[in-house]
Amino acid sequence: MTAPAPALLAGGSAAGNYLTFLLGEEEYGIPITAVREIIGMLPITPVPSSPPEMDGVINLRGKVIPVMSARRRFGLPPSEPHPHNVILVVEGGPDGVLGLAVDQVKEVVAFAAADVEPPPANQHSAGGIVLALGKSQGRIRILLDVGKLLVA
Amino acid sequence: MADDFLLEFIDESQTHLAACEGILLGLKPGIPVPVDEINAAFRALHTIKGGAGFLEQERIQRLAHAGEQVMDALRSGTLELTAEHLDALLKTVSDLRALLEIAQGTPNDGVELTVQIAHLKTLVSKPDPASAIPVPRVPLVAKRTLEGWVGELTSSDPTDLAGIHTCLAGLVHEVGPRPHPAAQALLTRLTTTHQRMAAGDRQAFDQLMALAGDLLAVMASAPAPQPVQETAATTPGERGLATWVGVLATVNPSDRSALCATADGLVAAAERSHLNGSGPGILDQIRLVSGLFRDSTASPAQESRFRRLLELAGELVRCEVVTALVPTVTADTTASRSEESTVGAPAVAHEDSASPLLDFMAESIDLLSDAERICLAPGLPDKDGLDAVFRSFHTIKGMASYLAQPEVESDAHGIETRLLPLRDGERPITEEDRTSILASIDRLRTTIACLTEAPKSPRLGDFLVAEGVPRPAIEETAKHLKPGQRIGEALVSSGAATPAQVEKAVAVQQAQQAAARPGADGFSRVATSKLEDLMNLVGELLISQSLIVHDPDVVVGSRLQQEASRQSRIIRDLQVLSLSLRMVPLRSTFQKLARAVHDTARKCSKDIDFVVLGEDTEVDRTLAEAISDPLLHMVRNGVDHGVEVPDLRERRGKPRQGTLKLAACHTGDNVVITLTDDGNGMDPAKLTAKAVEKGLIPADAVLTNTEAFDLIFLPGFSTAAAVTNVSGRGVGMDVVRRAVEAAKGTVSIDSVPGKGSTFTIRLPLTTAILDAMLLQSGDRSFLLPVQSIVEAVRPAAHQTQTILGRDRILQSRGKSMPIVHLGSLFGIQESEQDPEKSIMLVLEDGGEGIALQVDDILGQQQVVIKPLSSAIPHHQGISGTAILGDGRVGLILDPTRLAGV
Repeated sequence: MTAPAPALLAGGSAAGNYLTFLLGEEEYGIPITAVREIIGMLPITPVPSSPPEMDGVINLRGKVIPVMSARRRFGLPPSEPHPHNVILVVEGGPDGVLGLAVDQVKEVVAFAAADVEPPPANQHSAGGIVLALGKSQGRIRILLDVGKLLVA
Repeated sequence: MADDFLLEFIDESQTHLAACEGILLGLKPGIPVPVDEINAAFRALHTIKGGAGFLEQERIQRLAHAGEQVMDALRSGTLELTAEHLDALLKTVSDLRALLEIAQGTPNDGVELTVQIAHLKTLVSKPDPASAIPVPRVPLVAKRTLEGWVGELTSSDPTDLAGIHTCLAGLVHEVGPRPHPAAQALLTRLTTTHQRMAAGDRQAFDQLMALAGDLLAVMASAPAPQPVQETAATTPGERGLATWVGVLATVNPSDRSALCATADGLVAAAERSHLNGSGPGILDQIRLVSGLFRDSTASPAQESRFRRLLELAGELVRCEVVTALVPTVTADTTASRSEESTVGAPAVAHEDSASPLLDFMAESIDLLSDAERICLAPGLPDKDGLDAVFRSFHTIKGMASYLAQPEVESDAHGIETRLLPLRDGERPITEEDRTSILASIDRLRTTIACLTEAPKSPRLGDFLVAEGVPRPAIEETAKHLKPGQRIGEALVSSGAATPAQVEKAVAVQQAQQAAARPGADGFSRVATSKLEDLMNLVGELLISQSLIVHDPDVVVGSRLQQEASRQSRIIRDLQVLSLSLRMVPLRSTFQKLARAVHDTARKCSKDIDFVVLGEDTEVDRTLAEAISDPLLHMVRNGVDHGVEVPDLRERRGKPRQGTLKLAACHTGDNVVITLTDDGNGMDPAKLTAKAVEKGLIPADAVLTNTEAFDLIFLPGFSTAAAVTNVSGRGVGMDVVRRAVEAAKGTVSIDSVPGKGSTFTIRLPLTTAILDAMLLQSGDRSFLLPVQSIVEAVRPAAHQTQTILGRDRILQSRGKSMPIVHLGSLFGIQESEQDPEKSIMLVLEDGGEGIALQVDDILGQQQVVIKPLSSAIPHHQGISGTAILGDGRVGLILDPTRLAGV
């Protein structure tokens, strides 16, 4: 799979490299450039009176960073803890980084401009967070706009 | 990369400015200026100018230069310090600060640069009133329109060439048909600069501004046109000089021969024009720099050298302008004066040789590296290579001689002498020669790296004498020392000293040099974020270490356990050290206050001696920032309301000059800052009456003195205009208290009416560390600041009671207070409800206390506070987070905000 030509990235196209992860049966993708690191599940300290989608805070090598549950953010039912569960440390939020707790990381996929299409207009898309749908190998991945994670 | 340089420059310049400001504030008009201090201030501005030049921050460079000129005049004694000078210089410092902010990207348009520079120039060129011959000035009307034209020029669009041309024409007209030679020179340069603009030179516009500013300054102080003959006498040299500078500006820096020829022409023209003041010194530097061009092949330093040359040439023209302005009394005195200054100039040049010396050191190290590279190249160096190496040493020798560094000079000379036969092909170079050249390079490099400002490093001979070697023998040996040979070796071989003596002397000398070397115990600037990272990592290390130590698999008494506990101690030391890195002295915070006192005192026409003690007291960096504003407020208040005007003070039998004393010191884990004035003081009775009148306290309230003074911290109290007359205090003191309390500190007042007041601020050493109690509620743990806990009780049945079936209260020591159940407050299901199985923590919150009901107390620990991300909206009763001993994140409770919900 070849990387998309720069021309495809221009003009606000959603083409590019995405890290994909699973939430239940659905496969999601976030731009690989927004992912700082992937860490195993850590003990999360819940924060009283915080929004429901926020799991709490973790200690990332001495830094306290917030962690959001991707499932709760998208209104999916909670799942049983599993050893595959990870936290994606993504860039964003007022402190620069934000943890995103997901079920499992899948792979990195490159989408050319021809592979992406805008989200269906009739779908409620959790506050515009769905950037596009990416199609490759006959599967559909839901590509996310990281900047909109915190804006409900 | 460029941004890094810029940020570093800005950071350093701010330090320099602070130093400069500090010195300026210590100066008093009419009192002779201490030479050391003004030199230091001069150097500060000079360094900024240099850096700005390098980074092409032209506006900063120009303003710094203008300020420097005034300082120069002050230190050379041609100018006597007046309040006007002091104000202008202080304004320069503020403006430079603003320009730095602009450079950093902060929008700030409050800098009237051209006017400020022109003003500074006026200060310098203003003849000393005592000795000046009264000369008719340029008519006021003309001057005003001149300023008008300059103003229009400044505000015109750089691309509007026609408009600029009109302005220039206006300027030429206003200057008049028979202009002063200096003005004429500037006009010529203005015209050529305009032509360069027309040719598309974007930087020319800024130069145009600078020239216009110069012109304004010249015209403001220029004597009326003198008799024709004098003009004729000065013009040729001048015109020549300005022309050469113009040629120099257009020379291609890589065309060395053209450059050298121009520089020669420039030097010759300058010699003809008999400059005084700093002229000869500048000329020497030009010779030096142009000499560098001649000697070195193309190097990265070329560009900056060329710029330096241009800068020097510019200074020369300015110097020439000054020369032209000095009224010539008689031929005799001029002659003697110029002779004097020729003799005096090098001395002055050495005095502020801080940057030339550093330049030299950097340049020499470069040259040595070049030479080393040539020598290390495969095969023996050929003739060209030897030439280049020879030139390197020759250049170093020349510069060393100029900067009066005899050790370097003689070392370089020695190597040069040995290279000479090789270079001239008298004998072929051998492998031994190469080794010896490389050794010489190393030696010279060490010598140069050890160069410091005076006092010069003592010579080995002095130490040898101390070791018992007869001085005459040393001197004799030194005289016959072969180039490159070391005196110690020579003495040993001649039998005058034993190897042990020499060794010992060398060791002592090196120890002294190391101690004297700048930076040996100096500072290094580190980004704050790196310090934070270091602290975080050390914290993590500590946690991971404690997990190992407490691992059940680790056998007590085993080697692993012993080693691990030793490691724990090391890590703890490391943590203490990493925390101490956050500490900064209060000096710079206090310095800002000194400035505020100066400004406010002038505004209020008060005479105040601002005494600062303990400015080396170190506090956490964030704390220093946090208390900066409250202190500023208090200091202004102290000047404005505390200290009386001189006349009133005299009537009260006090010295006319009031004293405001700011002191800081450490007491245990606290920093105590006191601000004391010997002014009005406050009357508790009047304060109480005022508060009653305002309805802030009940009419029958009986207050202690302390309580009465504390009234001024009430928000409603401060807004009353009449307070000023009553107390002399109270403007925004509630803001002060809030800021201090936000920094976990306290502020208290003591005052004697008519005698003065003392404000005491008590702060924790650092806001980063918290002594916390670890609590448990359900399956969660929380941290609570220990100092907020009054007592912890396990209540008996009769101590708690419900009100209306819901709200519960605790009775303890005769007081009753509401119970806040932490588990219910935070929605923790598993938390204990039964008060008798819980622990009640009595928290003092101002007057009313609350009882915090928790399941258990787990222990006390010191934690490093980390802010809670604003990405998580959270309960207001949580003030922050900290990493707990097991690596999890703990939430810190804010006792004052738990109750209000």
